[in-house]
Amino acid sequence: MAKVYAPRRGLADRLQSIPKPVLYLILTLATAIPLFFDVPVPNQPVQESVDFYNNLMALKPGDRVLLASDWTNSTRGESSGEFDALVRILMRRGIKVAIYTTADAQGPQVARNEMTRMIDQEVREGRPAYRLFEDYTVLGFFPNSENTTSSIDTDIRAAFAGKKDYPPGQPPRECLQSPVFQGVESVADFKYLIVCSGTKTTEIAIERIKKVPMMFMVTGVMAPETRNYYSSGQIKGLVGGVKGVYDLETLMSKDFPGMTNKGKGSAYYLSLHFALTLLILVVILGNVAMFLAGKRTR
Amino acid sequence: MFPVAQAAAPLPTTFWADANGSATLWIKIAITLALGFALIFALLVAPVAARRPIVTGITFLAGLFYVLKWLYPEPIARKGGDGQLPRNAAEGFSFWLSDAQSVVTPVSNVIVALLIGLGLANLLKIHLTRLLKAQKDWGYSLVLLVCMVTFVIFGYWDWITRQGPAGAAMQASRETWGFPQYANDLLFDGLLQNMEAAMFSVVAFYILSAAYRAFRARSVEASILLVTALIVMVSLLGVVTLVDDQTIGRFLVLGPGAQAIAVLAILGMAGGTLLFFRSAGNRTLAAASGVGVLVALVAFILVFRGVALPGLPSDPPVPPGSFANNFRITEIAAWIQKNLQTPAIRGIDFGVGVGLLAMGLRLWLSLEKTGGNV
Repeated sequence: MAKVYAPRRGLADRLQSIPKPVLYLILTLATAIPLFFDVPVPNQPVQESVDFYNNLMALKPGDRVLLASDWTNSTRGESSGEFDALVRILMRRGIKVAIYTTADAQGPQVARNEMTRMIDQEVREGRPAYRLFEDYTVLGFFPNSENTTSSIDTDIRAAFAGKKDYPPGQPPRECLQSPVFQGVESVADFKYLIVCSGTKTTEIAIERIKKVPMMFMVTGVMAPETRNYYSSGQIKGLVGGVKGVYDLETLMSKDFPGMTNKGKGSAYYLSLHFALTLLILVVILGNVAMFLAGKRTR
Repeated sequence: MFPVAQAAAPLPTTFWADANGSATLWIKIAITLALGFALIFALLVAPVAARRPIVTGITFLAGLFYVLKWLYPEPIARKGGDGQLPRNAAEGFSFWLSDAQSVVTPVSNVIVALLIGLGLANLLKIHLTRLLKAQKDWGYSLVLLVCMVTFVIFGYWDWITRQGPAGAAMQASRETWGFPQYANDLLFDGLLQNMEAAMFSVVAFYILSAAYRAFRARSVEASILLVTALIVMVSLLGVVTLVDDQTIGRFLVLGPGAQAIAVLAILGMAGGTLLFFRSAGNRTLAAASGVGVLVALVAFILVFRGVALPGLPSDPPVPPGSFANNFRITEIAAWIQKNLQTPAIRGIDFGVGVGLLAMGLRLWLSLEKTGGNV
């Protein structure tokens, strides 16, 4: 009986057929191991992040911003870092903020938890506490994003009427009675509408908000399409993904010395480096293998 | 009846806004709910011929409001609630449209919330049927129903206990938490949120696998796409951009001879790479071009890093405004994003917008027949 020999696999074949589990394992290690090391990575903030930061820093203490916190933990790798950096700047600058959600019912609770965590951190470092209801208020979830956003632009007090928050030591009170809304008659009384989002609510805001300048914080995947609105001048600043968070943290380290400025951007940027490097390497590897095998097809 | 959150200042009582927690309000809620269900039931049992004009009419009226709101001029510099009167009928209509927004928004929010309830009812129907009849994969249905009921119970339990005076303390500190708060926290933050994050992170593995297997330079177009993608990805690597900036800075302070070697090395690397990819299975040519690229790379590194440059600063910066700035990887990536990527996406978005407009018109005028039997 004749022996059946398996054809010998060349280098090109081997390079083209790296098993998926091996790739997955390398990716896991490449992204997980850097999390254990605090290595400062050189960074040059992009202009859109610089604009976002400069606009915030130009606000005066006591100014107000409206924050659409349209993210949940499914995009927390990027969105929570953006939210944290933003809240740090707002707290340290003494800017009041009203937070609402139109994307997901979990949004308000996620925002509350994150606010509590950031306030605790500031208090531990000896800075004054940012007070619920006095300095910030959480308006809750609005299920119809299109209508709510349109209503905010038309009549903000009607849009948020009836929503309640929990001032410490008091029964729940109308958010509109909060000092954050003192003297607010229109959305134009806020300096900015900032949309921190992992969904399409950025586009909904672009389509409907006319009376207040906007700035967006989006995930890395959303950044290219959102850049349209930045380059056209429809938004005044843009923070995109982990790179954007790291940009903000880099800029904060110059203006807030001696404070904790490192957050998830600094923690994840090295991992992003390794993940991107790996991605570039496997793309090159796949192409080199294809050309070595002489299988180029048109 | 559980306590309803207290408002410090009572809202003006109208037909649409009764006192919070009052018996009249609860009665109106109950009547509205009953009427709503009755209307839905009536629509379900009515013949198709009778249903169609009702649904078409309501759809048209609902859409008409938004069309008018979008197209009709807004009152100039009007601030809500200041008692300002319109100057004429045209402005009066504009005021009316603006005022109606505050009624339409909560109505639409309620309808969307009702749709979520409808979705839940559907899920319950499907999975209870599968469970009770012990159909295929009934175990998954059981898990879904148990999770749903558990989340609803602990979610509401937590919410109700937070409505009292202790709610603020619970929000501020965990020390006042009771069993429902810890249970809800475990389910919400401990389980649900982490599972969501894990689901999303799986995408990274698919991207890596797809990039390795499918992102190939099989044609000129694919090659251009590949090169531009690599440039943009490399520009995100802070270490690489730093080295790139330093290299360009050093190039500017090199002597003419060293600059010539550097340019030749760059051309050698580019030419060798091109030759490698055009070798089309010719191993000798591929090996020769690979060696050529390596030699050029070594020459390049030697010029920039190996050659002693006495008196030079360790990292000479690229002077602002210098022509050499155009060769920085970050500048090239920014140019690609600004002049290629953004206009392309804008074009796609424009096409999608036109499509959405057409679809919106079809829905508004009830010309779209798919998706139902009305």
